[in-house]
Amino acid sequence: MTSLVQRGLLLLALVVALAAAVACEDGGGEPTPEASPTVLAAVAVPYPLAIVDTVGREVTIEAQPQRIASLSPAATEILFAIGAGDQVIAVDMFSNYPQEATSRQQLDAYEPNLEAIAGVEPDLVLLFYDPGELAASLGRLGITTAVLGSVEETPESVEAVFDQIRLLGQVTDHMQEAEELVADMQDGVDAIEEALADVEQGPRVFHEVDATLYTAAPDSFVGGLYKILKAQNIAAGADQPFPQLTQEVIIERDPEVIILADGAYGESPDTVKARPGWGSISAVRNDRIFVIDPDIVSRPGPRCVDALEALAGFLYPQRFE
Amino acid sequence: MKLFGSAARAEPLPEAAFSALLGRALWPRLALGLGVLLGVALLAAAIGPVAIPADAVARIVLSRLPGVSLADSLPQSWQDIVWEIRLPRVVIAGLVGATLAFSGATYQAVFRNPLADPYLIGVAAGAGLGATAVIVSPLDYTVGGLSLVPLAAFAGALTAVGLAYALARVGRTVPTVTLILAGVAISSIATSATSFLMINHNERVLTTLTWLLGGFNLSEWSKLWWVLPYMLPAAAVVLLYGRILNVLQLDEEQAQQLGVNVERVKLLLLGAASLATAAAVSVSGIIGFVGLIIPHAVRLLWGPDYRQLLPMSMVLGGVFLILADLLARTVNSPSEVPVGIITAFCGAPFFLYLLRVRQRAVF
Amino acid sequence: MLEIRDLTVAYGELVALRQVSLSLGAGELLGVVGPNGSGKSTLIRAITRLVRPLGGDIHLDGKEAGRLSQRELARWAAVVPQNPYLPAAFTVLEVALMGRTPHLGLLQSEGRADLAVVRRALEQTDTWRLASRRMGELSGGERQRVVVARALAQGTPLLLLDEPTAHLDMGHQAAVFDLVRQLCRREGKGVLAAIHDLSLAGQYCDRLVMLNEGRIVGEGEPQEVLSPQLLASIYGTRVSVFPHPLTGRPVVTPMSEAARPGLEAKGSVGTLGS
Repeated sequence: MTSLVQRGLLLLALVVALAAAVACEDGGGEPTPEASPTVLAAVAVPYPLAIVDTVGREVTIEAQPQRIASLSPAATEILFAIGAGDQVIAVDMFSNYPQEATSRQQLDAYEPNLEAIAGVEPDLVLLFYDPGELAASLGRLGITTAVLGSVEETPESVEAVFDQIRLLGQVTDHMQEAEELVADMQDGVDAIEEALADVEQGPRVFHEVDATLYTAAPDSFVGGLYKILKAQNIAAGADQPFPQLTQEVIIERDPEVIILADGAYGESPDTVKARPGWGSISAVRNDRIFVIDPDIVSRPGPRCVDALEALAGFLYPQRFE
Repeated sequence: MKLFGSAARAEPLPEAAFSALLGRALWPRLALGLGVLLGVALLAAAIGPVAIPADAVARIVLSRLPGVSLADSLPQSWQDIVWEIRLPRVVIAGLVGATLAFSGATYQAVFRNPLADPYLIGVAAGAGLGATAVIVSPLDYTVGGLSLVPLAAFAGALTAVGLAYALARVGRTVPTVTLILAGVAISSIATSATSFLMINHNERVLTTLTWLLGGFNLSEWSKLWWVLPYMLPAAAVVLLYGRILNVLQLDEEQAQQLGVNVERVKLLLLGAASLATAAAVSVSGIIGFVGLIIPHAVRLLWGPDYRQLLPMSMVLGGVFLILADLLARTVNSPSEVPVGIITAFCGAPFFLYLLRVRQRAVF
Repeated sequence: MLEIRDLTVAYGELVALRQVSLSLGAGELLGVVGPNGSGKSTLIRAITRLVRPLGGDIHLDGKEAGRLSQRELARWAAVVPQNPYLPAAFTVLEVALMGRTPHLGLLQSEGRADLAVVRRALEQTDTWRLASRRMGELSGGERQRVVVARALAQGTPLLLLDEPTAHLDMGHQAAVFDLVRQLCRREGKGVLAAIHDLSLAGQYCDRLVMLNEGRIVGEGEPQEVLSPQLLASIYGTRVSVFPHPLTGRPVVTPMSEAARPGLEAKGSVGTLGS
């Protein structure tokens, strides 16, 4: 993700320099009072904007997008959070936050229907996952498409989320709100990291994605959150981001905290305690089993810091009230 | 004592054939088989992704006897792992393997078709649809203490078989070829419906696929009671009819002329095998190849007589699936590999081997 | 022993037997002859209830066959079918033992007595020496003799044979029919045999019934039924019938074109009708 932003910044700087050189007679835009480290803030007319998306495609955004189709729940959350909600006209079926987003027209992100997307007449389509040439097909229809992250390459860190927020801020010309949001989130992360500065090793955690014992390994997004919290993920050593663990491994690795992301399917601390053979697990004995909303831990969006704070509270109850 | 009998014959005296037929050859083989089964079960209980020494395992198991407590010094997690996790897994895998094997043998006998397996007339497809429907629905997995997924799988399996049977019936007879066609049709519909549900609820795809590919990761002692009440009576019925199954291997007309009530026997045996398979599948998911390969392996080793084919298939099926499950939980630790993948890997080489020995008739 | 009255059997639209009546007593060897498709096999299948008759009835020793269970029926009548499917992997002994099925209860296995009966049956058909061989390894003729042995092992008073010697060489044909006739004379079995070889039928059978298109067109002693006129009209070809030099029983051969000019001169063939 960082390379994208770097390249985006470079290209932008180039374009801006050119535009400034060509249009210096026009007097440019309003002078920005504070000296911002980023070139972007000084720019009054950010379009046309050239970016490179996560699958390496160069995308040119001609003008401020007014009809965005967001097929990425995370991108939807970010857009609304930075004030670009009015520019969003269609979302995918899983974009359920904020409430306002659900009033937009719905599209399918996993089995995208080209006609349906084109029918909405978007001027920008955001995908988090390209199921085979969708971006290319949309491009042939003249629709600007950007792929922000893919199923295999979900941003692995909160840093990457910040980059995405900034990118979307540029793209929609809400850079200021984007920076404010990032600053806010950064403060939240800093606060947590500070509070945990003296911790060498956090508690052992088992993050249950599903009652068939699928979990999130360290190289998944939520695994990244646990890394920030210095927790010991008992799924360490697995060869994929979402492995299914054998029961005996879970018992032997003895998690001290169990986080349930499958509360919606009927799992609860009580059902976990009732599982035969789990009685000796520390988390069960000490009643440290918690339920968390799966949306906030798995979406690389504005609420991931809320997730971080919630998890911090579960893992370190004394430090975070 | 003939352990490995009828495979290769020179010109042995008919007297030997006589005593073989009086069933004397079966008991030593069965005893050996059961011994192997027990050994494999203990082995599987002693091995796992968590390294527990064999003597600890033995102490934990023995301490289950009343008045015996040799395991007090061992960590509770080890005791839990051995008794609550591994042993139920091993026992259930053994039972499911035995069930799939004798059901497969029964299906092959009734349909007189070497390619028949217990899923031929819809058990797997129906179970898959039932389980998927529950997994993707907003229903909880457990309602009032009752696990919905296995229940739905069981119901789906029986519905599919019942439909196939009803469709294939012509008056009072059910021609076997028609039954196969009906079963294939029902299975296609069920499989398509299952795929449709999966695609439309792709956030549950991983869970659904894991169930469909089969596994024993969530085994617990209570699940034993989902299988046993169906498997034991079904096995008893099928074993009783061993000799009649031999007679069925002539065509149906000859069997009838020899006094066998062919339609009734077909219904009874298919019904028993389907019921037991439905129960097994509801607990373990859809594990392929066991029901198909094991009866053939037994035939290759010991001949086609169903009086020995059925019990030896049960034993060999249990051994096979226990070993496959052992691989499933150790080969990619800490991850669990769906056991259906392991059995499938064994299936292909076996078929190739079967092709090569086809010269000698085994069916 | 076997009484058939006005039996009518149809397969859907096709009527295979029309109002067929015949009777068979103990110790009798009754031959059923007729061209292909005349209903010989259907007759046998009807007796063992593989097809349900549209009309008429069948009585076995006075009892209505329709009321007997499949098992009881199998203890009454054993069948040697025409081209039976035989599983390749089972041995001769195993297949022959299947003949004991009607006598065994569900929980029972074959015992020494059953094995003795089967052994005798296999010896009688000269297949005892093949007992350990698998069916797949045998020739067509050997397989057919095993099926005969199985029917004998069934130990029934009535034997129904459907072309029992179709694949057998001359020697074995004679052996089988000698055996069958012995069983009739010495053990009082009643045998109904569908035979397409008319000479064979003529040599061995006590009585003949000739079927054509589902109807009986001739009944009685072989000399009566195997008349050239009847045969020519039924089979549509000229035949020559003459008595066997030793037994006096009719021998039937088709007549080649070349022999026709000497027809009237020989006198052994009557005028050939239409």
